[in-house]
Order: sequence, then C-alpha cells, then structure tokens
Amino acid sequence: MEKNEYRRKDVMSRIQYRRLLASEIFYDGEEREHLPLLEKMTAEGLLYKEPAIREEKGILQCARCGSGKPFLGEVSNCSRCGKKCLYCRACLMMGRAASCGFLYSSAVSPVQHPGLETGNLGWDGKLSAGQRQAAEKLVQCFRSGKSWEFLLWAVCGAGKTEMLFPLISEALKKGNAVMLCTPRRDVVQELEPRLKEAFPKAETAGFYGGKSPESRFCYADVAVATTHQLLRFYKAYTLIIIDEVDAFPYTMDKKLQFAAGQAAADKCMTVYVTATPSRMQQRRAASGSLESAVVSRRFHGKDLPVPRLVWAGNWKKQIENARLPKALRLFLKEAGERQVLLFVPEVSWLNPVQEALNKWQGNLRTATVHSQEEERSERVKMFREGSLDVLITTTILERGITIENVQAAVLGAENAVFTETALIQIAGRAGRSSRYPTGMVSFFHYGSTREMKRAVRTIIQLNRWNS
Amino acid sequence: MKTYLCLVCHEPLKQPPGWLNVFQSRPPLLCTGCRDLLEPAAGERCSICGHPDVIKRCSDCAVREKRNRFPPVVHRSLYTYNPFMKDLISQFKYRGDAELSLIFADDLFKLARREFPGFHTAVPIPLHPTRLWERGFNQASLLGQKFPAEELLIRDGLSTKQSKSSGKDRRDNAEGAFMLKHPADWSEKHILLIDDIYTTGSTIEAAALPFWEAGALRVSAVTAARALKKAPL
Ligand SMILES: [Zn+2]
Ligand SMILES: [Zn+2]
Ligand SMILES: [Zn+2]
Ligand SMILES: [Zn+2]
Repeated sequence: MEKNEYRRKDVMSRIQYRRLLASEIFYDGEEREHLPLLEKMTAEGLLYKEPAIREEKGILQCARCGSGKPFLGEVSNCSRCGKKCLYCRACLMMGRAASCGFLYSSAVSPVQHPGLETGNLGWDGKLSAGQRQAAEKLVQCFRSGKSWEFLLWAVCGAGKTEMLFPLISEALKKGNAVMLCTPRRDVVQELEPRLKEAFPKAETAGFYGGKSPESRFCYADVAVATTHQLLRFYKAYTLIIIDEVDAFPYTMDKKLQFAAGQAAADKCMTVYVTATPSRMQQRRAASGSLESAVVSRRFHGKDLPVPRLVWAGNWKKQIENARLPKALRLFLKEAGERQVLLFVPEVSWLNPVQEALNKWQGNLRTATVHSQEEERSERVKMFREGSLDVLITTTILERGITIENVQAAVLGAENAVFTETALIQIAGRAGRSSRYPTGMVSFFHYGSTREMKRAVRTIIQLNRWNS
Repeated sequence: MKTYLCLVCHEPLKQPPGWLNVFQSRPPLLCTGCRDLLEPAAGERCSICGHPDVIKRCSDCAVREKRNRFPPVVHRSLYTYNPFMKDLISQFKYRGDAELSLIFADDLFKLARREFPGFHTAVPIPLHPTRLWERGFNQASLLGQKFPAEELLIRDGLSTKQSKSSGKDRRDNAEGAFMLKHPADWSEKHILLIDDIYTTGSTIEAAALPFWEAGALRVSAVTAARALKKAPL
C-alpha cells in the first residue's frame, strides 16, 4: 500500500505537463505490474487515457506524433494483444506507441508551477531600441491573455534570445511554465544555460535525446526541447516559443509545429521566432491576422549584406573541366585574405569544385563538408581557427558556423535546393560580428530564379525598415 | 511516382530510371548507403560455428566437441555483427521495430536452404514470457517468417532448475533452459534453429538439447548476425 502511494506520486509528477506511454511512466521497468495502478488512477479521474494509434476518418495515425501510413509498422501476431497490431516507427525512439497501447495524460492541474520569484531577471544587459519595441509588444500580447500566434521576425544576429527575456519573465511571474523549442539539439544545449543564467531563481531543463530517464521526465519552469522531446508534452503550456532562427536547414518544420500544437494549452500564445518567415506568414502578418514584430537591424545596427546576382555561365561544364567560372575567380580575388564559405547544390560537386580551386591557385587552403562527412566538425573547426581559406559545403551546414569576417558565395544558385529561405540564411552568415559588420555575398548562377530575386528583395526591404 | 523510403535511414530511395522492372517485383528495402554497411559473413570460416577467418575449426568448437554429449550444432549467419548491425539489431529487438525483420527474412530462408538443404522443420528460439510481453514480438519468430516455422520450444526462465542436465551442460544454461512444448520423437530428423544473433553459441546449444534428447539426427542453426570473437582462433 505504502509503495503504491509512493508510486502514485511518481506518476503524477512525471505526467504533469505531459502525455506518456505506460513504458515511459514506468521507465524503470515494471510496466506490466503497474498497469492496474494506471487503470485505477484513470477510473478515479486522475488520468486520461487514449489509444496510442487512432483511426480518424478511416485513416490510421499515431496519436502522439501524427504520423500515418508509411511510418506505421505492423506485427501480425502481437504478443500483448494477440492480434494484428500497428506501431509507430516515426517516434519509436520515444517508446513504442502501438495499437494495443495507451497514452496517459493528467486529468488534474499540474503539481508544480513556477514560484513568484522565478521570473526575476538576472540579466542586466540593455536592449536596442528595435529589440525593446519587439519585447514590449510580446509582453502586451501575453498580458491580454488571448490565444495568440505571434511572428517575431528577427534577422540573423539580431539578438533574439534577449528580446524574449521580458516575455518569459512575465509568464513566470504569472505562474506559467514556459516552453522553448527548436529543431536542433545543439541549439537546446546552447539556449538552456543562457536561460538558466537569465532566470537564476527558475528551474530550467533542456530536453533532448540521450538524457537519463530521471532528467527526461523532470519538472522545469523553463523547458527547452527538441522536436522529438516536445512530443511528450501535452496541452500544458500557455507560452510556447518556437525558435527557428538558427534552425537552418530545418525551417518551417511541420513536425515541430505539430508537436507545439500538442503541447499548447487551450489558451496559449505561440511565438514563432524566425529569420526567414514563409510567404504565408509574411502575408498573414501584413494583413494583421498574425501578430508580428520585425527586428530588421542586427544588434550592431548595420545593414544586412545585399547579395549580388552574378551570371556564371555553364558553370557545371567549366567545373567538370577543372576550371573555375571567371566571375567566381574575381569574387575570390576581391575577398583577398578574408575567408570564404562556398555553397554548392549537391554533394557530388564538392570534390570537383575543390579540384578546380586548387588548380586555379595551388596555395589556397580548401576543404569540403557535407552532412555525412565524418570529419565535418574537425574541418569546420579548422575553418573557424583560420587555417582554411575556402570551405566548400552543401546547404546542410553547422549552425555554429558563425565566423567573424566570412564572405559567402553560392555556386549554382539556380538549383532548387536554394530556396529564398536558404539563400537568406546563407547571406546571413556574412558580416555577423560588430567588428566586421559588412560582408560580400554573391549568388553565382546559370539563369537567375524567382527565389534568388525574392531573397534579394526581402533583404533590401529589411534594410529599409527602421532606417 | 511513389517514393519509397529506406527502412533504416528513412531517406527516399534514389533509383536509376526503370529500376522497377520485371526482375524486381518490389523496391529494395534499403538505400545503397545502408546496404553497403551490411557485411556478409562469407569466405573462409569455421566449419561448425561459422566464425569467419578460421580454417576448418575454431578452438571453441574443438573444445565444445570434446565436452558435449551430442554432436555440434552447425551454424551460419547472414552478416557480421559490426557497429551498423549492432544498431540495427538493437533497434529491431529492444526498441521493437518489427519491420526491420524484413531486411533479413528472405535471405535467411535462402541461406538455410543453401547451407542445410532438407531440414525437416525450422524452430525459432523462444523468449521468456515476460520478455515476450515487453517486446510485443519474438524477434526470432519474425526472422523465421518466410520459413514453414513451428514454435516447438518453450523457454524456462529459471536457469538454476537444471537438475537433469549434467554439470558440463549446466554452464551452457545461463541463457535459461529450453523444453519441448509437446513431447515428440525427433529421431532421424534434421532440426533448424533460428535466432537473431550468435554470440558464444550457448543459447543455440541449449535450445538444441531437447531435440538431441528426443533423438534428432542433426541440429543446425541460422542467425542474422554473427558476433566476432575478440581474439579469434
Ligand atoms: Zn508516432
Ligand atoms: Zn498489440
Ligand atoms: Zn538508408
Ligand atoms: Zn567454430
């Protein structure tokens, strides 16, 4: 009996703010023997339970992550239910959601809330005028207590985290736990300690794959989670901040937005922080159906570098003959001593481009990186340390590639992988620091595209605002 | 056109045009990148346990042959248990990704027919009932889905209750003991055991025991993965 009481407490503390499988609630094993306890607690009105795989309008889907058909695996003779049983392969790393399993959530209010002092700000920096305006608008929206969607359009290097502090502080002071989410684990690992420092009285926690079970299910006043971990949170938050500023290339991640929708309480303010809002978001912001604030100035107050569109001719043919397009040679000469990030559309172009570079100037120190490259971090590190002149890369690039005084070039910018969003992000790599606030950005192409022109137009527009 | 995803990395399969032709009635399960990470356990190997890079017979098998009352179980694997295979097997068995069995099911059947033609019945190594409930399926049964397999064994979790077997056999029973579900006469029959991974061979030996005791002529085994000894030979 006593043990069961203790177990009940455990269940309620793990399940607050969340929706979990029995195997997650009892992560220490003993799932089977505790199923009756979950049944009992459900009957007593403490828990809700729902099938982990559900059928909606004849379509089967995972109730946790929303994945449908190609991601539902099948066991013809399940040893739990004895029937044909489906399970979700898409969120399998979070525990196995199967047809005969259930997701449990709390039917009562959370056991823990942020205390009064948690909102005290331990950060004494100053916001720029642009940041302050945006921050005030965010706080006002939250105070109004309605369901808001808010677009915070902040250019790369605008100092977005600091802009969010007043809003987070407001929510905590009102006793509301706060969720920040981002597609990337490294961003979680970087954000969490900064929030800890900013809110010394609050409990903060970063949720990402590979953490110990105790920390996986702990309580936090301010939580920072990756997309997958966010799937564990359910109808709990009145303030969710989706940070996609440095999420590149995972912008407008549908999974993340689905997960954020699940984690939101009935009344919730959802803030999208992005450097590259979609056309739809821009239209909605312009029409007023989406609340928004634009911070078009970088923290150092200088303009974003405007990309040049440069005709490179049939660059593929030239590269195949180990020749660099003339326009690119001129760019590299102009860059002189400064380091260059050179983007190519596909992995298969990395080596040929490197060859052409070396043939052109043998003393140029070059390296290539792409997503599967084993030596990726080593090479990025070398670039950062200045022991490489040109880093040739595909669009999938470490976000950590914020490097002082780097110039950016795209070869083959007409390729479909270079969307407006991708191009703006690439342009945003240049001139980020206040020591070197300007930078060269060129898009070399064999026929300019709408995406290229839009990227340039958007950047010019951002520079015009606030000036 | 329908896009197919690699079963392991979930990336869309890139195929040359016209790849889905009369010879290939269905798309491949794995992308070429993942497929290349599988290392076939082929070439020179121990004639009994199938350990690669061994001429004739490995030392373990020689020792076992002297010690055991019954003939050795001849075993063959599809792939070596390299880091990729390790991830694959753990995703399959511990995370419960049953679909991954499809990567091996057909080839395992082919391997068995090639190496052990004429076996009478195929028997997946069973799990303890508790394990079976936790996992939702028996990985060995799924690997045997293309065989005319029969679930003839039950697994006893209490490895200490081995009063019948001799002291020499007992140490092989750390994996638990196996019993026939129904007593039967297996004399003159060739039994084929199926499991996911072959490490020391003790599980296979333990599962073969009731068949030997029921008079089996031969017991062989196939598995998806073969762990390599640190210091072979
Ligand atoms: Zn799912
Ligand atoms: Zn089932
Ligand atoms: Zn693959
Ligand atoms: Zn051997």
